[in-house]
Parts: sequence; structure tokens; C-alpha cells
Amino acid sequence: MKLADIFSRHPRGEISAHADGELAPDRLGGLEAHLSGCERCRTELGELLAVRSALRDLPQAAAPRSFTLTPAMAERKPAPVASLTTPSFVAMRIAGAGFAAVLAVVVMLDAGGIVDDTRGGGSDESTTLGFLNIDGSNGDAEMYETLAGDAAAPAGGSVADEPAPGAEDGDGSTDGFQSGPDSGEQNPAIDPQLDNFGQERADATTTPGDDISSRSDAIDGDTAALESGDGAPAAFTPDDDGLSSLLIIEIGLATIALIAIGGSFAMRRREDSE
Amino acid sequence: MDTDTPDLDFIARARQGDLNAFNVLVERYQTGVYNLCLRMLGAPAPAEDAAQDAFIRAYRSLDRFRGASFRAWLFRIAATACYDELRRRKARPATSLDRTGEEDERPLDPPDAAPSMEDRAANTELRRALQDALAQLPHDQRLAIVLCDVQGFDYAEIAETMRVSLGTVKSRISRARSRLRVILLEQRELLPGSIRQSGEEQ
Repeated sequence: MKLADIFSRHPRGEISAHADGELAPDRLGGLEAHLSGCERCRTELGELLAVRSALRDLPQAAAPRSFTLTPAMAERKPAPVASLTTPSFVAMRIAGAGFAAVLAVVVMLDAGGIVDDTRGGGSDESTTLGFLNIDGSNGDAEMYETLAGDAAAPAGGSVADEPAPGAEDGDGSTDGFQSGPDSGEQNPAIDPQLDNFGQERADATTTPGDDISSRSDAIDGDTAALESGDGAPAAFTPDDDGLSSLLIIEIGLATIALIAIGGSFAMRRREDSE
Repeated sequence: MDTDTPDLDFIARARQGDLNAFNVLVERYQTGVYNLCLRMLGAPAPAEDAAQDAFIRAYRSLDRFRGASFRAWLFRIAATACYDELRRRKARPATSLDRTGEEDERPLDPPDAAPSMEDRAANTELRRALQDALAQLPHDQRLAIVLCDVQGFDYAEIAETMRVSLGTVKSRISRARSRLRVILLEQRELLPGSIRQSGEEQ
């Protein structure tokens, strides 16, 4: 049962499925009990059944001609097929997943002590970030550059490596019917044999990567400011008077991921409700 | 036409280059595919083009068919061709060279067999109202309801055709029916008695 149905107390989605005899058996008893006490839903069921009946009574038109293929047709290359998906929706979803993955890596590095916050006390100590030894004088900056580079890679790489949806389907489509085609003008035509959708999405996700790079630059500035404050070591020292730079990165990544994922769900919901 | 031989036998032969075997499948499904295109596109001429295009695409992609149901796979290709046409229409609205169907004088539905003139007229009006209402639905909802109520697919086959979950199928059909109900209630005089009566009670 959908949340909206629970709040409205009228399970409209289930009424339609019930009209088709497709309601799950474990829901049947509950719906029938509801119908017996709710005149509004009984009325709606009657109307939906009437609509269903009218549609089912539509006559099947005879094919105006035979569609059998001639040898020439069989050799002809079919027209390119446009994608059925909304690139912006897909890109946002993938970007959200990419940022979430990067966030997970950063949090693991942080929580796992690979980036050791506690060893930053000595001015001559260096901080280890995984396999990297970062010099204490400018460790933060280098590490963030490394993170930014890593962050850009999964965002783009995961998309580029992903097989083009529908490529194995051979039906010329590029993905499930998961989005309305109303945004079709955004979709370039895609040849089913030469599906460039994956590349397109890879291109689309380079923007988040660029964003990370630009964030890296900004963070570099923050790092420099922290270093210049009291000549403290540049290793990952917990920030006594505020958020650590790493925490800022985590919050930033989480925010971007949430916005991207939330945006993709909002777009999907809007399409469904159209 | 051989109506008993399973689809897979013809598919196997067609994959070997036997065009006649594929054409048996074309004849088996062409009425359904054409009617799907007709209800999705709302006019005979573009439906004819989309149906032909779907069969050509299906033949050329036959090696990639892996699904359990050839019908679901084929109808998905036909739906893709329809989406493509709908997208083209939106991108290039009303150019004189397009076969949008507006100039097509052929009736959408076959002649009605109702006994009286009044009944035939009423049925014709109802069919037109239904087609107009279908045209107002979002494409995904339109496809789901056409597969369900016009083609008679069950939810599982619709899910396989549209490659979405059963829950999404249920939701799209429910939304489509609700919207059709509202649209049709606005034209109460055309409707079957059951809808008209309940609409007047509200």
C-alpha cells in the first residue's frame, strides 16, 4: 500500500488492481473489508470497472496491410531510436550515487584512522593517507587534491564502465521505460547498434567531477588559512575552534549527494504524477 | 499461418536467416502491434509506419532476444517506435511532410455493428472520447493502460514489456484509469450508463 493511500484511507491503487484481479491475496481481505464500509471507494471501483470495460470493448482494427518483411526491408538499416530515458534524471541519479560513494570512502578513511587525526600533534610528524606519505607542511592540500582526483574518477568511470542499458536488448531502446518521454528533445537520437548513451552520461557526470575539483581549490584556500593561523602542523588535526576540513568535505559531499538523489526522485515523482 | 508452432522455433529459424520464418511471427503479431501503435499514436498512418519499423528493428535485433516472452519483447520494440514518433512530433510540431495523421481520413476504428443508427453513433462518439482521453495521458501511463485493457496483457507481462516493477505497473494503470475516469466524466453524455450515473450522484 502506498503512503498516500494510508493517509487518505482510500486505497485507490489497490482498487484498480482489484478490478483486474491482480491484487495480492494477502491484501484482498483488507480491501474487501474497506470496500464494504466505504461507499466512496465502492463508487470508484464501479467507475473504474466501467472505464476498464469501455476500453476492453474497443474493437481491434485490422492491420491496413501486411507488415511482412521483404528482403530489401530486412537489409535496410532502421531509423535511429531515441532514448526512452531522461538523461537529466539518469545523470542526477548516477551523480548522487557517485557522490555517495566518494563520501563513503572519505568517511571510511576518516573513521578508520587511515587519516590519523590524533597524530597531528607534533610539528615534524607526517600524516599518512593510505599509501601516501604527506609532508606535514602542506599535507592537507596534497591530500585534498588526491581526494579530488579520486572523486572525479568514480563519478565518471562508473558510468563509462557501465554497459549501455538496453544494449543487449536489441530492441533499439536504451533503458527501461522509467521516465516520461516528454523530455525527448533533450535526448539525442541513438542508434541501437551504436549506442552512445553511456558516453553521453559519462559526459554528463563530468560536471560533478569538475565541481569537486573546484571544491578542492576552495579547500586548498581553507587549508592555507588554517596553516597560517599559528604555524600548527598541517596534518589532520581536529579543529579546535570549528569543523575540521575533512568534516567540511564530508558534509559537502553528503549535501551534494542528497540534493542529486533527492532531485532525481522529485523528477521521477513529477513524471509519474503527470 | 501456423498457429501451433511456438515462437521460439520460428525465432531459431529466423536467426539462421530464414526471413519466411520471421514473417510467420509478423503475421502472428501484426494486428496486436498495429493496434498498440494506433492507440499510442492516435492515427492510422503513423501507426502503420511505427508498426513496420518495429518489425524491421525486431528482425535486425533478433540475435539479442533473450527474454521469456517474444510478445513482450516485440511489443516493447513497438512501444519504443511509438515513443520515438511522439518525441519527433514534439520536437518538430506540425510540419507538412510529417505523417501526423491529421490529414488521414481513415477512421481509427472499424465500422460498428450496433443494430440501430443511434447506438452506432453513440459507440462512435464513445470511442472517439476514449481515444482523446488516452491521448491526454502521459506516455508511460498510456502504454500501461493500452497493454492492459486493449491488448489484454496481465501485470507480469506488462512489467516485462516496460521493464519496470509490478508495483510501478499497478501504479501506472491505477493513475491512468483514474485520469480517464475524470476526463470521461467531463463528457458525461457520451459515457456508458454506469459511469454517467455515478458521476451525476457526486
